[in-house]
Amino acid sequence: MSESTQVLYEIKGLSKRYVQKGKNIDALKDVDLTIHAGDLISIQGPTGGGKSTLLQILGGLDKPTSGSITLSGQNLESMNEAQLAQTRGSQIGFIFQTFNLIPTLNALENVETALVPMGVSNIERRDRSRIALGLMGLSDRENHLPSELSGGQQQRVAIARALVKNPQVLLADEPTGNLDQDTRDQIMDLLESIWRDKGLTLIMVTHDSAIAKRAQTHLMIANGKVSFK
Amino acid sequence: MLSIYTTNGGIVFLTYLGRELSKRKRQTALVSLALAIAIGLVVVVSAASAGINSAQSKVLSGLYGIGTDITVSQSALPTQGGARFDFNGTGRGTGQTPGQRPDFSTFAQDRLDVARFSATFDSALLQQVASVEGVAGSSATLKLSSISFKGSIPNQGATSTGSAAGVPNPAANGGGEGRGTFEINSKTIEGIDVKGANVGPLKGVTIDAGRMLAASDAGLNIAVVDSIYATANTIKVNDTLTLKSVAFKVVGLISSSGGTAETSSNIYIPLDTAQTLVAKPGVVTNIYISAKNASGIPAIKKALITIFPDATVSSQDDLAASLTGSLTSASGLVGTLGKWLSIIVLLVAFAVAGLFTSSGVNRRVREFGTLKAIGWRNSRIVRQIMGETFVTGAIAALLGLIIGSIGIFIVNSVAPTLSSAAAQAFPFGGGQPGRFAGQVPGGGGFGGGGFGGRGGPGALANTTTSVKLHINLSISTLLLAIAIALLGALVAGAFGAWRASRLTPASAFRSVE
Repeated sequence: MSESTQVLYEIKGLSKRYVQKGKNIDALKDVDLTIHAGDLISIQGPTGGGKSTLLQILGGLDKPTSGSITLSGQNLESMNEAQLAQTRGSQIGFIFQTFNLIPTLNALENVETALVPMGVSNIERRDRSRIALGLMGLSDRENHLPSELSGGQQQRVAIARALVKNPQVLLADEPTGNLDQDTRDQIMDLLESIWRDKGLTLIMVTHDSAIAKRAQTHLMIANGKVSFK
Repeated sequence: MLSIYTTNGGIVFLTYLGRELSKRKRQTALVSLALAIAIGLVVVVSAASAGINSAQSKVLSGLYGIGTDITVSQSALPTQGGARFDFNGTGRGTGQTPGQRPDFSTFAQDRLDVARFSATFDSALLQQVASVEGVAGSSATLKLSSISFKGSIPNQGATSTGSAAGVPNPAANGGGEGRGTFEINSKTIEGIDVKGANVGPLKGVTIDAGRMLAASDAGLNIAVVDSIYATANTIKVNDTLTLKSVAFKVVGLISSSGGTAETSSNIYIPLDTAQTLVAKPGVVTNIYISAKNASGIPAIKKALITIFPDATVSSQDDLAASLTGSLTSASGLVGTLGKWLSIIVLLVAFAVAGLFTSSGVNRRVREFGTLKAIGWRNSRIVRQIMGETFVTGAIAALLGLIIGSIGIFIVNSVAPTLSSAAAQAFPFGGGQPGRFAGQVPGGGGFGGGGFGGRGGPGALANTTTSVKLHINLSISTLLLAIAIALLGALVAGAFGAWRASRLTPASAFRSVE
C-alpha cells in the first residue's frame, strides 16, 4: 500500500454477521484495514470466505454489523440509504462478474444510466457516455443491445459505465470471471491502464491468481478474517 | 415529474420505460387486456345502468310528469257494491223454450266518481306542503274514474244471475236461448291545477295536437286527451266528450315524453271543473312535489309523512321500485349481477396486474440492484416501475373503452325492448276503453232488476309501457373507465414498486449469486 498518499478507506473492527436459516454466519470478523487512494488491491479467498461481503461494504451496498468504515473521511455505516446512494452515484464505480447491463438498453444508454443520479444534463450525459465508450473501443457498438455484444464487449461497456462518472474508487467483483483467457487479459490490460492513467483506486475480488498477481497488494479472506498475502 | 426528468434523465426514463414495455410485449398485452376486459365490462354495465335509469325515468315521467320528486296519495278501501248499475227491468222470468225469441230491453248508464281506491285530501293541505323546507313546487290533482255501461238484455221471466263486468256465466244455462249484449267503457279523468303548476303529471308531456290546458281554462268544460286513448277512441281536437252528461270540448292531444308510454290518465280537465263534476269542491287525490335539490328529498318526505300520516308518500326511488316488468328485471340484473360481476372481474384484473408486476420485479432483481449500486435512489426506481404500469394502465383504458364501445354498440344494435308496468288504482285496466259483448246463454234470460256488479276486476291495474333500451358512453363513464384503469395499474405498480424499494442492493446481489 502506498504510504505517501491519502487514506481512502479506513476500516476498524468491522464485522458482518448474517442470519441464514436460523444460523449466524460471520462473513467478516473484526477487520482492520486501511486503503490509500491510488492503490491496486486484489482480494482472494475461498468461496463464502467474505470477499464479496467486504466488497459490498466498501461499495456502500451493505452495512457492517459492527465496527466502522470511512470513505474519504465520510462514515459509511452511519449514512442513510439516500446518502449511500449519493455516495455510490458519485464516488464509487462497480464492475460485476456478470456485467449486469440493463438488457433493454443499448450500450450508450447503459453507460448513461450511471450519470442519471448525478443530475447531468441530457446533452452532457450523452457526450460523456460516448467518450467513455470510445475509450473502451466501442464507438461503433454504442447502439447495440447487450445481447448483441460479446462477453468482453459487455464488460467493457460495464467498465465505461463505472468510469463515466469519474469515481474515486473502482470495485470489481470477479471482472474477468466470465471471460475467456484472451479477453480476460485484454480486460485486465484495460483496467490496469485506466488505474494507471486516471490514478483511481482499484479493488478486485478474484479467484484467478494470474489476475491477483497484477495487484500491488494482495488480501486474503478466509472465514471472515482478512490477511495480507 | 416530466420537467425534472427533462434535465435529469427524462430521456433515459422514457427510453427505459418504452424498451421495458416493448420487450415484455406479451406481459404488457396480457395485463392491459385483463384490465381492459374489466374496464370494458364496467363501461357496458355503467352505461346499461344509466340507460335503464333513463328508461325508468321515461316511464315515471310519463306517469308522474317530469320533475316530480315525491308524490302523495292515499288508498281507500272499496265500498261494497260500488259502481253498481241498476236496471229497471221488472218482468219476472217464466222460462223459455228452445227456439223461442226473447224480447229485449236496452239500457245505458254512466257513472263518474273519485277514482276507486283513492282517498281524497283537503286541497288546503297543499299550502302546508308548499311551506315545507326544500320544496320547489307542488300541485294537486283529482283523479276520477268514469264507467259507462250500455247494452240490451232479454226480457225473460226466468231469473238469471248477471256476472260482474259482463263476464258470461255459463252456469246460467237453462233450457232456453236468451242472448243479451252489453258494453262497458271505462276511462280515467284527472283534474289538473291549471294555474301555473310547475310540477305534476302534465309537466313535460308532448303536445301532439291543439294546446295544453291554460290558467284561463279554470272552471271551463274543456279537456286535453292522451293521444293513445284518443287514437283508440277516434277522438280529435275540437271533438266533444261527454262526462256525466256534461259536454267537454277537446282542445289538445298529448303524449308522454317517452313517446311510447301512456300518460297517467286518459282525459285531463281543469281541477275546479273536476271537483264540480263530482260535487266535491276543495278535494284532491294526488299531490306532486318537486324538491329544490335531490339531497333534500329524504327530509321533505319525512315532513310530508307528518302532514299526511295516513297517506303514501313516495319518492322517485319508491316509484321506481313500484315498477314491474322486464325493465325492472334488467335493472335488477345490472344492479346486482352486473355490479358484482364487474367488481369480481376488476379484482381479478387488479390481481393479475399486481402478480405480473410483482413477478416482473422478481425477474429484475439484479437489474434494480445494479441501478441502486450505481447510485439510483429508491424513489427513482419506484417512479420507473410506476411509469411502466401507468402506461400499461393507459393502454388498458384505451382498449377498455374500445371493448366497452363495442359492447354498447352491440346492445344498441340489439336494442332490447323492455316493458315496465306501474301499479295504479284504475278500474278496468287503467282506463283503457273496455268493450265486452256479453252473451248470456239461455237459462231463462235475465230476471227483473238486480244486475249488480262490483265494478270490475281491475282494482289495482297495471299501465304497461315498452321502452327500447338505448345506452350511451357518457363522459362520466369514460372518466370512470380511465380512473379504474389507472387505479388498477397504480395499485399493481405500487405493489411491485414497494417490493423493489425494499430490496437492498446487497440482498439483490445475494439473491442471484
